[in-house]
Amino acid sequence: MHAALIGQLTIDGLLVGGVYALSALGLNVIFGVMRIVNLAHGEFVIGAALLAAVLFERWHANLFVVLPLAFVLAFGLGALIQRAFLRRLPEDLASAETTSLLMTFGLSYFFVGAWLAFFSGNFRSVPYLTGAWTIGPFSIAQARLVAFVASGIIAVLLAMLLRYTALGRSIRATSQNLQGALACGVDVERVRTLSFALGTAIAAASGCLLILIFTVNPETGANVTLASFAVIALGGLGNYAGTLVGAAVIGLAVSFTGYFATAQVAQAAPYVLFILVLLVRPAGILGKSGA
Amino acid sequence: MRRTRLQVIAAGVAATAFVFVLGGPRLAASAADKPIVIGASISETGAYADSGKLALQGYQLWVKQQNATGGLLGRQIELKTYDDASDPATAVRLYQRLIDQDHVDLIVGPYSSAVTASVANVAQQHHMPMISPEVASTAPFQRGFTEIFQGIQIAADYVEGPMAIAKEKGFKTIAVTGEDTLFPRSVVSGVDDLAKKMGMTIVFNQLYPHNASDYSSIVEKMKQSNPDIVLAASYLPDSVGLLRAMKQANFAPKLVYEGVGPTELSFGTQNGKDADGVMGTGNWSAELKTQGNATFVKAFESTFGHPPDYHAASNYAALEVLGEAVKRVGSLDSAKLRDQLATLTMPTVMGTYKVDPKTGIQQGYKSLVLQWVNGKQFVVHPKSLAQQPPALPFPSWSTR
Repeated sequence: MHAALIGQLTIDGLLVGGVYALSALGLNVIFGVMRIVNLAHGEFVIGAALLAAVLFERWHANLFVVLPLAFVLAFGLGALIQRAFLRRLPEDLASAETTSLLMTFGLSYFFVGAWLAFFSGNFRSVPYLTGAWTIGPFSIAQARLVAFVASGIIAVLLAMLLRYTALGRSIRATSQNLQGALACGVDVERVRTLSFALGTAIAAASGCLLILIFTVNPETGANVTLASFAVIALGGLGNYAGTLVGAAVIGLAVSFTGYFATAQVAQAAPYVLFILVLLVRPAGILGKSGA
Repeated sequence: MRRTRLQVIAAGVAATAFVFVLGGPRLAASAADKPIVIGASISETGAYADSGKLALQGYQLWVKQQNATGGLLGRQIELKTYDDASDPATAVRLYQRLIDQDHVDLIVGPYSSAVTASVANVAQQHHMPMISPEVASTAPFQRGFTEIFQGIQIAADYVEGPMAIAKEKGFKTIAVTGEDTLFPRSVVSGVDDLAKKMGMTIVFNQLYPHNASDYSSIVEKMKQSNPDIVLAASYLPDSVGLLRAMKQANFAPKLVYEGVGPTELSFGTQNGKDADGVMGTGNWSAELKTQGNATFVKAFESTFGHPPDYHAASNYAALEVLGEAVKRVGSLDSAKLRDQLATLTMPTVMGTYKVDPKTGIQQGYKSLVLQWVNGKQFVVHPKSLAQQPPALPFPSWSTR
């Protein structure tokens, strides 16, 4: 095998992984703080992706103008959903995971229908940055690199928010120990609303980048949700650095199996990895064992 | 309580009387005054809603035009349609209802191959001949049914056009790919035999699953096999995905064919200049010089405010054929209609309608090879219908 081919597959894999990473980060923030498995996550990603595609079709709206807009809209929508629905679920933790699962499942159906009504069932993508830059023997897809870099910037901003701000500290506290956070006077309700809103907004941002690479319609959201789950399960639920590692592993697995095996194997690869990790390291690659 | 019961009885009596007053005269009227009812189910909601709507409008336009010129057999025509939400089981129930409860006089086919395959059983059981304008797969016609007739080009014919073009240009090696589902698989099923016949070699043959999102690996593999032609049996989303991955890998073979994806107008909007040179298979084009086509396009646009697509055209053509069969038979006798539909040869907006009398498989309609040139679709094959010759080789990515 040529070294150049291996290099090319590695580049392709890592670049796609970068976009998975952002979507998965949004999901992980929500899970980390709220212990809510948000099955409607992919619908937020796809909703923003379709919005970006439609604005591009109509007015050639630049994706990097649409991205902050989608971020703000989704932030509001996320806060609304948390206030109107999720907050009303029973507090009892044992049943909360099941009821939140059912509720987000229902929300996901609602949004698929809403996007179908609003955007129609057409598949859409955006013809922007479709070319490639050639560096030595490698070709680097422009859209993928831009999406990767943008994902990276948003991930770094998120990390800084979590590490250096009061809100970030409250989020991490709630995520690590609910009782402790309550005892220290953290306004847990507010933190939950802000985290759900933040997770939804990150999902929307990743949607605006995803549309650069993939062709989507309202019914492709479930695939995004599944892929994001595989990524955070690999990296460790609630572990933000692990999410990046998980995304890179999955991106590489898809790229290499797609070449050396078949596209069918590539599609199964994330889930095979996911099962293997659950068997061998149930807490994820970077997770603390026994956590 | 008693008063309530009395009220219910009174309401019941009144309602019955009302029904008699309204329904009585209608029941008594002779059959000749009633409209001829044509029944169908269409996917008006769900993921196929957009194409389903155009298919329905094709039916509607023919009925409207026909009624304006005196209807059929001296009677007006009424179209009775239900929404099957793209679900085969629902469509089966709806056709049963159309036949058993609504007592429609004639039926025509629903939208999509899968739905048609299920509904064919119902048509067969009730001996209601059905012309189906939305089923490109021949599988439903090979089950010994006698009542269904294909109103669109067959899928296995699709790759013949691009391969004939390639042969003429002396291209030798082929990479075959496509979505691993029923329709694309039937599109590529004949490639092996055709390649042998034409003296070409298949150097790559691998399908990808439905809902695949990343095509960079499969394109990288195709590129390594270094083919002259890429034949992909793809729909719109995978056509766009494959083409983009080819550009990103800087892979430009001499001919690129992408199934039915390039026939959709949004293939152009989604790909911009990258669409140039890509070929696809179309069933119909607004530019086609078939009988009545120009008038059809104009009437469709003025009625619905948007241009027709091939769904609208094939559904319109189906009713053209059914109407002609009824005229020739002179009645709604289903046995006679069946025989007429099996043997009739007539020009429609789609081309010349002609089916194999035994199976009902379409033989007359020829599929068209379309090519994107400077942001527009042109028919480039077969020569008799071509607007211009194919522009080959496929332009390199750096010269666009």
